[in-house]
Amino acid sequence: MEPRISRLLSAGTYVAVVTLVAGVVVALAMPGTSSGGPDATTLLYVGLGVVILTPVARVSASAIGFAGRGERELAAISVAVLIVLGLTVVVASVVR
Amino acid sequence: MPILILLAGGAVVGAFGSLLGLGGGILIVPLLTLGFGMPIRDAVGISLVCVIMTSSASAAVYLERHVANLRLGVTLELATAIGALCGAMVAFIVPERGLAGLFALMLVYAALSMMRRRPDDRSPADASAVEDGRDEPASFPASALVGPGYRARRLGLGLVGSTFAGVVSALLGVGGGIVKVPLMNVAMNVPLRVATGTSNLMIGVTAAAGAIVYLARGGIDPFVAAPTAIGVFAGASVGSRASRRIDARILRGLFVVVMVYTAILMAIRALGL
Repeated sequence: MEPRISRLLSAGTYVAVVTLVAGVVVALAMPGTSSGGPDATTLLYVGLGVVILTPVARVSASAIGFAGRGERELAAISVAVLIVLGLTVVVASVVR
Repeated sequence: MPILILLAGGAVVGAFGSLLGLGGGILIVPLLTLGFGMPIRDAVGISLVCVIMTSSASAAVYLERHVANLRLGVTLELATAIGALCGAMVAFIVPERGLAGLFALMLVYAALSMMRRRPDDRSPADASAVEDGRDEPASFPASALVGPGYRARRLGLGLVGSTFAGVVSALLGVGGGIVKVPLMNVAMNVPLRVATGTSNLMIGVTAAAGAIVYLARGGIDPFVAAPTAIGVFAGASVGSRASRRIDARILRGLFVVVMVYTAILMAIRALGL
């Protein structure tokens, strides 16, 4: 399971770096459009999303991996971590 | 804010952090606040993004080399994620000067920790490691505590300490390794290398929990976060390759001087002088 999760983390990091670099390049190429214009903004937010979702994907992969091995407690803890992260989204959106 | 200057600043911080074995968060917030005049809360959100990127990259290596304990990491990161959620909410209540004061205290602690650091990887935990540790023990919680050549202890204390590490991470924009590594190594009897690898693994989820709150509240400017994160990532990659060729003692000495100086600047900011 560890090698698979390692590859997942590497892939997530590289996708994030490529997307963020693309966003920065677009921002630099179009300096007149208020910090780069909407295309750069979209790319940068997608890149930031990939950065944040990479560890979330890692926890999901752990949950699946532990469940597949019959390690129910650790699978349940992984799911609980995902629930806390989901709760974070809800709390951050609701509580002002 | 000039993108190229942020890239360069991030690269310097990333290289310096990786040469010292730090995630970089402890240097990114001072870079953005003291160097670029950003409010601390905005810098914390951006720092968390940078911390996630460097930790994902390094955790991949630690897992591939079977240095990180995935089971222990998953168990403890439930606590760090809860702590990070609480810390990020508190960060929006604590005044700017309060955050600066807390950051100054953390910098002093980091400098003192660096001064006391041993020159090699050996620790009391390694000396008392069990010889018959198994890779895949049968049942929880033993499965989370036993690894090749060691048996961790005090899981309850580890969970409490990890919650605190999560609060510190989200409040101050750091990975929390400064709390988690000594917690696992000294209190839980985990060998230093495993503690470092496992801490790196947990940092991604911990920082993600905090970053989600900052992002949802509009506290992360993508035009500052992206170049800083790219710079930190590139700098950390170069730094990790160069680390064997540079005298660690000189670096640590330099780090202590920089941290103490930065702590003074943060304290001045906290006191409003």
